[in-house]
Amino acid sequence: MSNQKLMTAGALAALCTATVMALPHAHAAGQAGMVVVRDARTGQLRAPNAAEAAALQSPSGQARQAPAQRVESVGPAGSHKVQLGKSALVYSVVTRGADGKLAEQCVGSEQAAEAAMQQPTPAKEPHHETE
Amino acid sequence: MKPSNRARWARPLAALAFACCTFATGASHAAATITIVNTNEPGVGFNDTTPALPVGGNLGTTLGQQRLIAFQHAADLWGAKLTSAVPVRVDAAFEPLDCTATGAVLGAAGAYEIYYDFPNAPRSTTWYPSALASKLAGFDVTLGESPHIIARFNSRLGLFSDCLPGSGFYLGLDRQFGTQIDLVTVLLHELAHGLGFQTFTDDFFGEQVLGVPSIWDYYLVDNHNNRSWVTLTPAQRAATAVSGNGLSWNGPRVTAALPGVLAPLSQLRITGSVAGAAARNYQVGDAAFGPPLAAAAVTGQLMPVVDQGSDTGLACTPLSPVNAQAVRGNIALVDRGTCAFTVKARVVQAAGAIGMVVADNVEGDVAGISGTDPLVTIPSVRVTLADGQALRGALLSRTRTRSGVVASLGIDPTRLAGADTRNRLLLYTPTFYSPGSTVSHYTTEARPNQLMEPAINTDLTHEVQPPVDLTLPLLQDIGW
Repeated sequence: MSNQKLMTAGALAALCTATVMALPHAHAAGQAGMVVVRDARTGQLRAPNAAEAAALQSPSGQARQAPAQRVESVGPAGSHKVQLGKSALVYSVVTRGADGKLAEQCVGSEQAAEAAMQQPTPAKEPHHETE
Repeated sequence: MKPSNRARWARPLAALAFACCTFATGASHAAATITIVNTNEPGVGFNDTTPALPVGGNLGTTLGQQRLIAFQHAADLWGAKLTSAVPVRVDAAFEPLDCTATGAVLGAAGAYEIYYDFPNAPRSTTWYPSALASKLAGFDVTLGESPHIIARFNSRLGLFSDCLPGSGFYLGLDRQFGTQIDLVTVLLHELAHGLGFQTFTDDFFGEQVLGVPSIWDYYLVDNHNNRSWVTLTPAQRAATAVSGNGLSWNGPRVTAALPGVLAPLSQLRITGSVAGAAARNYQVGDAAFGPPLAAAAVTGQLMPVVDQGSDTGLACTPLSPVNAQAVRGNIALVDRGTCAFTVKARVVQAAGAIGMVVADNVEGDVAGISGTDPLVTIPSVRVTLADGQALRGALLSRTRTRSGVVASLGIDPTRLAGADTRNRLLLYTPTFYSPGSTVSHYTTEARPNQLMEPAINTDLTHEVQPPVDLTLPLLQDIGW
């Protein structure tokens, strides 16, 4: 495992010990938003530490936006329909590790796919870590 | 993705089929017909006229033809397993998607529309993907106006220096993909999502689409309290999604098929009078190399490899005489890192160890070990960082050849690899949030590897049903 990968895994592991909370007003478009984390040990809200902040600033660590508002329509047979379009696409992403080996993974949004593409091999996938 | 190349999914289907297809679309003649609708413009994607030699049973003579043949082959594999009187339409295209020299989006697929309260719906007020809703209704609920599934795949993969050069799609139909990426396997996985192998409920917030559950959600159960996902609050659903094996699938088809598909659960059993609190059964990750754990357990003293001047024991180079003496005839405890798992196994095996336990070097859930080396003949497993520390703690008062801590690498005959304590298949719910992977995939702990794990493993076959795979039973559980 490369040092960079170790650092990424470490930051994610640190983040995983806390729950990320984006304050409600933080979702307004164009606002940076205030992000706090809930410490897994104490249960208290606090500012993210350096590792958590770094992970949060990475594409995969960005606080999730609220689910898209769906528009429902009713068809002639009384059935209800929502057109998901591209929003329900599931993406397959491949990365080539430092050892030249390929690792494929499946993620659920275009943003997640872009993030996965930038980060080699997911930190916790079995059968894809060689060291 | 380049904006100029975005697929125009919203175009009327008829116009797309008429205007864009320069290569005839195929269709299966099986229990369900899945039709690939070529939405590429002339000269690109499925219509790329670059000459191609036959490969792995794919007899197309151009790159575009071979792509379409591979697509239709995957669709036909699914069509042969499913039943529906309503043809499933897949709007598909090969187009430029995101790429770098070391990573790429292979492709994407999913349901285009979802429906509830259509005629003959088995459950009221429950979302179904349109392909399944059409099958259950007995007519096309989209009235032919929309595709059931949309799919787009990367047309530049492996063909350009900025798009994973040298690692393109293998377009053969025979799995002889070598160092390339088997398109048919990826398609089988992605098409399964489009057919219904996914929840439409937001897996991060736990919010249902317009307050209506997906058919998927009825078969998810919180295995700590056996409550169905649909009865939980959004916050509770969100919590189960990062619970670490806290969600199981309780559909009858999958559950009935499990014993014939999954291997017994591997385990590390620690005993011995000096083991103290470390004496218990440990969850382990299996190795892809060496012999699998079996009913006849491999048992010996657990002895650590200790690097001089360090807290670790990496076993990346031939062991010192002291370490070699310690592991000879025993089970070696080594640390993850610096070199490949197969190297560690070869090193301790050469010193006479009869088994290897690798302690993780980062926090997290238990995970498996990859690698290939036919010369490794001893069993290997991996434990978490915390468990590794507990094991090392129990080994402090050892001699050079004995620890008094006995390790047994075997199986739990009452449990299945990838199932909960009631032998229901686990869903992928790691303790960290993995957008889109969480909840809508099988656990990565299943053994053998399953098509619908979030990582598409290279040992997958093109089989989607028992005794090899559990994807078809799940689709049948939701109504297929």
